[in-house]
Amino acid sequence: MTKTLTVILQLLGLFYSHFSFSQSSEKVTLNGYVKENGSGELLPGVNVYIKEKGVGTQTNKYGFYSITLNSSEIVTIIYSSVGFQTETRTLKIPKLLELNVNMTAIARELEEVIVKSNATEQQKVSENVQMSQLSIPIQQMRDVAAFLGEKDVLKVLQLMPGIQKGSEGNSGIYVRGGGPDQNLVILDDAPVYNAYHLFGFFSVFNGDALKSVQLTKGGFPARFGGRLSSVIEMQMKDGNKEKFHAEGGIGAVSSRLTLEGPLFKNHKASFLVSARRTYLDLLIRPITKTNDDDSGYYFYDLNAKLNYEFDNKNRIYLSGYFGKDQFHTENVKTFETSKSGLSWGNSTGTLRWNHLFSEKIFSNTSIIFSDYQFDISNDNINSNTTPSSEYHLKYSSGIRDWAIKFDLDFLPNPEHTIKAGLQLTHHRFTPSAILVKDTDSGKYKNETNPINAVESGLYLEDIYKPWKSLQINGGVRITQFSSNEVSHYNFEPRISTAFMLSNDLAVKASYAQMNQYIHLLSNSGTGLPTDLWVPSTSKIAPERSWQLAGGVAKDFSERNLSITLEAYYKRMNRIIALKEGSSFLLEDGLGNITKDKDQETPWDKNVTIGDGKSYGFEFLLQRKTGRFSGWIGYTLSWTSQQFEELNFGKEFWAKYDRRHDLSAVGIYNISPKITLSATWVYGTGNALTLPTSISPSGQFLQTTDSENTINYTNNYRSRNNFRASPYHRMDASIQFHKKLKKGFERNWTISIYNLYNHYNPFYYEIKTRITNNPATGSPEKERYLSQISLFGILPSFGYSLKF
Amino acid sequence: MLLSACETPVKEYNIPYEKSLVIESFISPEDSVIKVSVYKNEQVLIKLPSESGTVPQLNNALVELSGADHKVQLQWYRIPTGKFYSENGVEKPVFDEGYRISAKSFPIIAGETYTLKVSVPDYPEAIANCTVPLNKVSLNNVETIYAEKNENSTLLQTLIVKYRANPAPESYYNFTVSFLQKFDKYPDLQTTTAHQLLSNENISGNFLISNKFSFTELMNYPADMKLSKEYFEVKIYAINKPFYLYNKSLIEAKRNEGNPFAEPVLTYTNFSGGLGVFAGYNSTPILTIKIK
Repeated sequence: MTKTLTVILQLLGLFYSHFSFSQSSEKVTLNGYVKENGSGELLPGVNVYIKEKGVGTQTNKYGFYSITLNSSEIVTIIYSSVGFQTETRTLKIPKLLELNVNMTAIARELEEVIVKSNATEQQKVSENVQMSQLSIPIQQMRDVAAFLGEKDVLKVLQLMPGIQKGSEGNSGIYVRGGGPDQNLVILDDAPVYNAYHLFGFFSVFNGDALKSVQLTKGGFPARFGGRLSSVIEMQMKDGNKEKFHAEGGIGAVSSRLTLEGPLFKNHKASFLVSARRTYLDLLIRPITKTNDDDSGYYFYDLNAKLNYEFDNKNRIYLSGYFGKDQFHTENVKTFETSKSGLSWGNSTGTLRWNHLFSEKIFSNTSIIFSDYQFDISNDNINSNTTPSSEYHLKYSSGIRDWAIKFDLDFLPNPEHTIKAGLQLTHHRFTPSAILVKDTDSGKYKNETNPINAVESGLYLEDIYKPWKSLQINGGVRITQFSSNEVSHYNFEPRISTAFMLSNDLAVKASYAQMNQYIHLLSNSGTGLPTDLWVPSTSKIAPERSWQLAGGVAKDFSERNLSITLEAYYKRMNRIIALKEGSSFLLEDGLGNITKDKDQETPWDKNVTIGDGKSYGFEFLLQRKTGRFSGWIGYTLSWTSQQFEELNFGKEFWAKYDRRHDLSAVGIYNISPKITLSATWVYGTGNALTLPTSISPSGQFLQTTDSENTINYTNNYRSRNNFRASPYHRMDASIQFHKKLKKGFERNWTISIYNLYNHYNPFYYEIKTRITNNPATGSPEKERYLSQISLFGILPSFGYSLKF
Repeated sequence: MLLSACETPVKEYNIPYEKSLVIESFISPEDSVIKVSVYKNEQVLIKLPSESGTVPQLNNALVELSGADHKVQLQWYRIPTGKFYSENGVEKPVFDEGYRISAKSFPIIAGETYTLKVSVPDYPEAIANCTVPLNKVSLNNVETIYAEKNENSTLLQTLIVKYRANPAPESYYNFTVSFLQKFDKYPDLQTTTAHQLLSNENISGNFLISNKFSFTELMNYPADMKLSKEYFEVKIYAINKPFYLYNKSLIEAKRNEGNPFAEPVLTYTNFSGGLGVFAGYNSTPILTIKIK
């Protein structure tokens, strides 16, 4: 099988070579891996540039590159990447050359000097055909001031243009008018279905374990599919192949530990284990626990990875993520005991095999597992009755995937980079599994209704450079989804182009169609564990979008700055929303959530289908490295939706429609020992629904015989008719780094969230208070609008140590 | 973390207030009198009297009801029905008031469409149409499941109501269950009523099945009071779509008040130029289910 595939691919290579170089007499191929010096970590996205030819390529996400030239002259090869010293090799290339390169990370003290000297070779946004793609160096992410000191990649992404946060403190992200369900979050090829801890306040991704983070919000290459609005691709570090390292930290919320190192003396294998756990429950338990009551909450996550390099052509990686949130309450009385629990968590696993068919053909095969499970339990035993009465309920929902994915990179010559692949995923949805035992009513219920479905995608794309000034990424993705109920096939054309107007200035345009076959039922958008993934059914068709984007990218190489300006227009069809009045979160506590599940309405009855559109402009000025780095991002956008069953069928502003969104992030290395960071954000307030007037309660609502109380009911006449006050906030942090003896390095961080203590709206509520009428002296009920805010100024401290 | 939550009163309420009439009328072929209530809406941020009492209706409305072949004007009425004591101990009368006409003067016929027009000086005129449902409801089709449940030291009286119904599209029902307790030496019945709105989408098999109606038994009453009678009253209504949508929107809006994570519910109206509902129904007689 492998041999046959190799032959086919080599024939294809011959065809391409002939097609592109019919005039050429001699071809040479340069290929290899680019690694980090000192750790052996493979580096994705490194620019490889042949100075004399003016052509180049990039390493793929496994650090591999290949470039075929049409003569074997003396050439200068420049390897450059953000955060690394540029490497240059000058040599006469034989017909085939494997050239592995090690690049050295730039130390803080050298950053400004090296960045200036490298400026012209640095990776430029104007030279990349891909538009609407954001990447932030991991080191920069770790330097950004963070909420309670917890470094959070999703929250840093919220600071980029086109990406918006939902509500205060929340990690949920909204990309170009799309909902949080429209983002595909991938960790080492495995989808992560609930990316949040603590009801959305923190993301599940531990920054210590990550190597790269990239978000694509438009102009999607054909290799991406399955969601309408964005793909957030994260790669875990492989683990240091050279020597053992450890890094640990203690923060206000959690403590963490990362261990990595080589497994064998031959430096062909390495491991990484990174774990994090909250400890607030352990600290406050002595205070909160009483004789009768006990409750607690914690979360943890664990990342682990192993890799082995068999030879230059074969490497395997095994990586996994396991995370869980657990909340429990217990009440023990003389005759009655009640216990409730709420837990949710993801597990993912990926086994990958990198194989080089030839110097021009790289492949990756992945076997992927992902599982998200949400559980509620409620147990009540009353021994005051004879016989004792018992009520037990277990409710769970979840989604489990098994997938196989094959990707191929074929680099026949500098004009073409061809990518092709196939992914096949088996989804097993469990919208609800209920087990009820109620001795009072004699009710015994045991229902599990899993739904099985298969989703597949086949893609082909070609990054084609017909001239030095023009790049085109054209591709197509064919997708399919089938379950017992439905079967769908879709054809998704994709195209992106970049035209260099002059050195460092390019205009770009893109068009992409996307389909989404699985849907998230969420009425808060805050990443609550009750959010439920469900498949397309005969009633709920796949969601679809198309997006047109255009823009300009300009690099100011001397200053190490880049500017991008983009405009986009996106239509989203058949998107889902919960019907009016639906709520998965009841106010009366866990017991009532479980009661609600006992009498649950089928999920698809709560769903309604409609359309949405979003358009806007985005501006990004970014400096990725240097003593002073950071960015300014601004978005001007409009997002509206229309559902037949919502807002009386009329179009309305989406909840997170945000006219203005501005973020400024600055990181300044005052000295090698001190780093300052500050962030300022401003955004138009969210759109909310508030009443237009009040009127006496309807006759129907008079439910008791005491009808002499004046009751008024709110009249809501249009959806999202009120604007919350604008959101703005400044965060700052200072880090003190110190190199200790024996290779140890410690870091103190002091962070202040919401530096000027501005109370931002979390939600609004109409309340009533009793006042005295100054004229009559008689008491009155005054109705007033109250803004509830979560966090004022919040300082936090963190300490970390590594060697 | 939530301990740091903070509340700030907001002075500016930037949603324009539109003055309008709020009208409610539920008509049925079984009723002997046709009644219409006419109120006005108020601004959202308003000061209201804190003492108890019913909200007065507007008594200067012109209320016209018309059918296929004739039109009538409803008359204002205000009848004292009792009295109550407000919080400060002042005795206050309770009135039954509104606009009415005898069904003999204007019989309501199932399947017919009627128009209600209400005008009050300085308010936009409000007009609505109502078609009275054709489908009849019968006590012969009602079944109930009763259970007594002790939950968290509270005694609950529960009832599930099943109604054999034809699964016709766009058919709507209201199940009303009252829980009544009669005590010796206490003249009035203690009554609690609950409603559940259902539609043909809730039909399972041939039955519409309610969720559990659950009432808390009054237990901590004085020693000299003795529970003499305890029973449920069940009534099934076949209702039209505006009846269903209007009351559903009110119930859900009320239920979700103060829950920032609930989806907002817009208040339904079938009035053009006003708020409220003009709706129709057919109903069964009351079914009594004795407990004690």
